[in-house]
Amino acid sequence: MTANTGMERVERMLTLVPWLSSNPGVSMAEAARNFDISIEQLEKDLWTLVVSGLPGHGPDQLIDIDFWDDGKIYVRDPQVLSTSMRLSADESTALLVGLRLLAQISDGSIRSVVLAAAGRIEAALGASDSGLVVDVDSVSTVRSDVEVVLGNGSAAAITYGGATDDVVSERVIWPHQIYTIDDILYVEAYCESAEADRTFRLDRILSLREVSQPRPAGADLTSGQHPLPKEHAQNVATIVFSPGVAWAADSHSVIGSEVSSDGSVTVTMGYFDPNWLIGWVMSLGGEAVILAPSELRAATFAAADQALQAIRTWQA
Amino acid sequence: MAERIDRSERLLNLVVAMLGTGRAISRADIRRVIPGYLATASDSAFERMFERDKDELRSMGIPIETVCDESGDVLGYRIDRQEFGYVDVEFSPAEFQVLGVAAQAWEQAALGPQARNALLKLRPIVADDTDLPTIPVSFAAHLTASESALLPLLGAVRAQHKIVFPYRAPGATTDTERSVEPWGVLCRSGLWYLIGFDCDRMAQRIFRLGRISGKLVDTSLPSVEPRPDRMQLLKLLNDSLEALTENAEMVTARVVLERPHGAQLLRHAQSVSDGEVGYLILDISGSRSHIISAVVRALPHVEVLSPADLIHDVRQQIEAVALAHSGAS
Repeated sequence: MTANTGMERVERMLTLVPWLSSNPGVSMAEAARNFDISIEQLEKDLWTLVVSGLPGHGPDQLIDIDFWDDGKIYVRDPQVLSTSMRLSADESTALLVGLRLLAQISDGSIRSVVLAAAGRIEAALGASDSGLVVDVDSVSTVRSDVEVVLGNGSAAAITYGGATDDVVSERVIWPHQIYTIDDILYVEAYCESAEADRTFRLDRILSLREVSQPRPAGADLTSGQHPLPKEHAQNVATIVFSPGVAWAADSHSVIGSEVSSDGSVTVTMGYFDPNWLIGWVMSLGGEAVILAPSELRAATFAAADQALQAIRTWQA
Repeated sequence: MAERIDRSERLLNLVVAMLGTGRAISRADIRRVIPGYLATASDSAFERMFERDKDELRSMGIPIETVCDESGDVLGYRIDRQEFGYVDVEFSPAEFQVLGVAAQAWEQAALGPQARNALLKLRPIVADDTDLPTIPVSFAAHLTASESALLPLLGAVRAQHKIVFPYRAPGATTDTERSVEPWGVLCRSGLWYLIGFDCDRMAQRIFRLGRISGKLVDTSLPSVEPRPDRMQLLKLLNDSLEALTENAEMVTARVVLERPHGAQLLRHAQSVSDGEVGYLILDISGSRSHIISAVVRALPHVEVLSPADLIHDVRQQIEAVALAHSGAS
């Protein structure tokens, strides 16, 4: 309801009355924020509503809303607007896809709440096949182990294979929350060695066992903030890909791309860690070549050179 | 000067009147009592205006019933409250809380506004209207599909309509116009796919949403091919993605790894044993490209013992990287 075309305004006003009724005394600012409109627009909507109502438009037939005292809103008489309109198909799809994802990563009593909510929306709508499917990557035993640790509020000793530096580390973590970004599972946890919250991708946890260890100060707080990979990618590189591997950048944070007549693609993309980017480019052989920044290009050459020196010492 | 009634005000009053009427409200009454109709110059102008309003309200999903008498003459119009809203449905505060978490999944994605609206509409039917108690929620979900094609695409899947869109296939230098009967949208490893029947190639195809390179158009032409269900769609996606790697050659290799490096190699390990102090001996297996990539990633902290052709491939790959990155760009 961000835009302000006529139909959106009608739908918004029909939604506004029951919503305000269920939030008596809500402030103008809070209501405007919830509906993602300006306070001026909210005032216009309210003025239209209070001169509208049932045929006749007598005092007892008009919608009655107080909103002139101290910026708080009270619905005195909603007339027939006591329930909201039904959800549109897109609206129920949005909620159902979210709920189905949550059902896959929750368990016990919370999972039954998630399923009950989904069931109610499906029943009210009479349809469930939205054509949009997000199935989380199911990671063998690690996931259920994390859930157990999370449920017990205890700690886990994990062996973790880091993506940026390819290094395996042993850590003790206190999980706060399991979450997904699309179909990929993560756990947010307090990490003892980092002395801070860290995010771990479940499929990179090589092993996990529950341990009993006193909870350090700071392990109870959860940020609840999960920066998406794209928000992480604050550095920018320009890389040219051969036609055969031009798709490789698709799953990364592409800012711009340009195709040459020979099919090679020059991509400007964001990245987080230079070591990760160098490793990724090297794994694509000579098919991906860093053009800029020049330090990154030089560092890639140096890494390749160092690797070649190591290979020369191999016995075989 | 006649008072000018804004269109949304007229429509709002029309909805309220049709919701509030008993059996039906007649056209004549609508014209007489709804502000904004009375000022219309002629009967035909009123008819045109009312027909358009009725169509638009219906397209918003408002169930306007046409009420007829026994002989089939139109008596008027009404909106059934049960059909209009959720009269007998109620969410518990805990359920509403998880609906909020579900809606947040779309915060930065294509259905964000729809998810927000859904919460606004459902808030009035939460039981125990006072302060909502909270349950401990130790999970969250985030979706990244921000493609503008997603919304029209979902509409076309539901309606089973053919769509056309420009598409830049991987490796292609130009866009091609694709004509597809869409079956569903699926996500795999953070990438979003459309699965459907390609009407030009007469076969099932998958498309990456991010490679739809322009406006997606719903042709309103009905799809002909039967649409697979959810489980079949998942299988089709798996099969399609596997087919891409099917021809991949599998290799097994033995490597010496310096601890604590080689996280990616360890994921391919069949067996791990201790070597000299600080080293592991790994037997690994996987597709050739995955194994080469994992070895390259671990260099210089790894030594490939066998097979010889893998050593050759790794060396060649690194030489290519060094050559491509030598000198200024």
